[in-house]
Amino acid sequence: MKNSNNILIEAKDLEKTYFRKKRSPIKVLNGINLDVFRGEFLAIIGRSGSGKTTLLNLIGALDLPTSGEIKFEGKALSSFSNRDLAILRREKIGFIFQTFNLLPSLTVVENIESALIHSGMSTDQRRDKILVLLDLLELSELSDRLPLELSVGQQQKVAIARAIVKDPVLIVADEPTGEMDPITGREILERLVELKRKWKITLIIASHGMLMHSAADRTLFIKAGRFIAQKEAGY
Amino acid sequence: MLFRSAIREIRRRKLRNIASMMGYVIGVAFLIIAVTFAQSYNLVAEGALDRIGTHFVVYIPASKTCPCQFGEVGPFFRDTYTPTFNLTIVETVKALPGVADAAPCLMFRLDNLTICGVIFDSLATETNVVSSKMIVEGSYSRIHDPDTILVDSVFSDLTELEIDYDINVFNRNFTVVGIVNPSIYSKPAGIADMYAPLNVVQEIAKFYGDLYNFAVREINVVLVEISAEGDSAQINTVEKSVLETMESYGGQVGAIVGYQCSVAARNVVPITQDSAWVISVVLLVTVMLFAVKSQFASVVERTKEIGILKAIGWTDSDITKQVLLESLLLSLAGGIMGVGISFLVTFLIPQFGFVSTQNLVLTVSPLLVLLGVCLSLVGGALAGIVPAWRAAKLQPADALRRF
Repeated sequence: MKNSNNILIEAKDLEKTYFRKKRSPIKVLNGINLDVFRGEFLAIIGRSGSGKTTLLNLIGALDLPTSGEIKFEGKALSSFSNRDLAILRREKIGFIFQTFNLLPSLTVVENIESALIHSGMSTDQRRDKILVLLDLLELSELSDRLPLELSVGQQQKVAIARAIVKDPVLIVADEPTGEMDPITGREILERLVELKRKWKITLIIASHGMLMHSAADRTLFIKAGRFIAQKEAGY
Repeated sequence: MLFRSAIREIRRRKLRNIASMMGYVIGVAFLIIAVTFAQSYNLVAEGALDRIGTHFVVYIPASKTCPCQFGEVGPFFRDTYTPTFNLTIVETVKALPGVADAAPCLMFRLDNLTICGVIFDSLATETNVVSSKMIVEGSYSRIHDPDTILVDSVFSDLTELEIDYDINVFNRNFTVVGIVNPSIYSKPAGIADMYAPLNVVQEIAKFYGDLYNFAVREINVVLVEISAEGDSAQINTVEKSVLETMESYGGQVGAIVGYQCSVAARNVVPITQDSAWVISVVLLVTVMLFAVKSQFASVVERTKEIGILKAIGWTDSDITKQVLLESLLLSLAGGIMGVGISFLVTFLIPQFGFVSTQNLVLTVSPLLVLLGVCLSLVGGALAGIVPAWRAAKLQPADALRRF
């Protein structure tokens, strides 16, 4: 699996600094180098403020680095226009957030559909695809509910469905079990791993706990914007 | 789904969106109401100006008491029984320099009931006596049917006459086909109880002349319209030559009713309407600025949601379309409600007599309605574009991080 032809994401000397009005800037990432391989489950473990979310935002094309470069399938994201980046996120990257980030005025089905609405698929095609996912994630009974009418576990399942409904090559999950009790958290993790195996998706999960480490192919430990250690599965 | 989502977003922020929509409602309603009132007042003012305009009537005053020994009957005009003369004078007056049109008129009275005979479609008749603009009810064009009559609105109120009623007056049967209100236009000769074709009134006059043994010639009033470009000096000259012609025909000095100074006054009348337009547009722009502010605040509140949409792959233009659609829906709904309210107000105000509206015919112009809705939509587009553009420009991570 790990050869140079199989690299999905390549990050070189990534730095990210947040500039603030009338206050000193904050350097969050400090020279990150990273290769992520297709089909890999990569866990990034670190404490709050270590730079995990910022790194995931850069990998997921939600933000731009202050310096350094990220390549997605060999193409530098810095050469992408805003529209190209949006299309990349629409077609190839699914994002799962700690706080789910579902749209409160849309039902379960509509939240999932919102990721496909500009995909060019017909309404029927979209609905068929969503029905399969709802069944897979045991959400069929909840399809007409609004997010506030769901438990946190159910909300995260909807967020997962929204991320994978477009058949992405990469899923980026930022603390996906952070809001949950350990049992629900484990169930969500198992779902993600199952989906990753079934559909051969590349999975990058950031977490501050060690739960992810047990399931990941590779774990990177981050502190103060730098990787400080790496562990392969089985070690 | 875009549409459904827009409707839900609007409903989710009911109070804010109602406040935004009220801006459009007030703006459009005020525009339509103010301009409709201004247009109606202008119509009345123009009617009044017609009286002092470039037209007048000529007749020969004679006696305030009836010359007929058998009762109050005979040719009559403006409080006096008048001599009659032949129709040929009309052609002579019409041929005078500066005269745009001249028309014959015979006004006849029997026991406090006055009927005016005219040629209905002539210009001088329309400016001096009665025209289709003065119709309150019924149809002006049906007056050309046999045995039909137009009645004055005051007379119809007093006698409870309605359209298609048959009445027997002047020893004839007539069907009422229209109710007119010339008094609001203050026409020089618009003071009869009823109006009929000239030949009908001539037959009536001849009948009573034969009955009571007095001679009646063809007409007793000449209606004159002077060329629109005529100044007061020219009008005086025309008046003088008309009177000289009258004297040469009847050997009697005629009298003139009518006046000439409308040209300058007509330039003043549109000021009311212009003012209404300016005030309305200023108000509309003001409320739209409030709508922009409100829409802007609404988008700021939704920054995180916009960040989510961008994170799942919506482009800047997708976001802009969504926000713009919501803004347009709000402005469209506001515009339509504004139109509804303006119809209600223009209907209710005359009913309750809130203002001096007895002479106003408040008709909301369809063009004004269209303009109101279009302006509202333009406002909605402007109110939506600015915040939508700003929202779309945010990096998704920025939008998600800020809120």
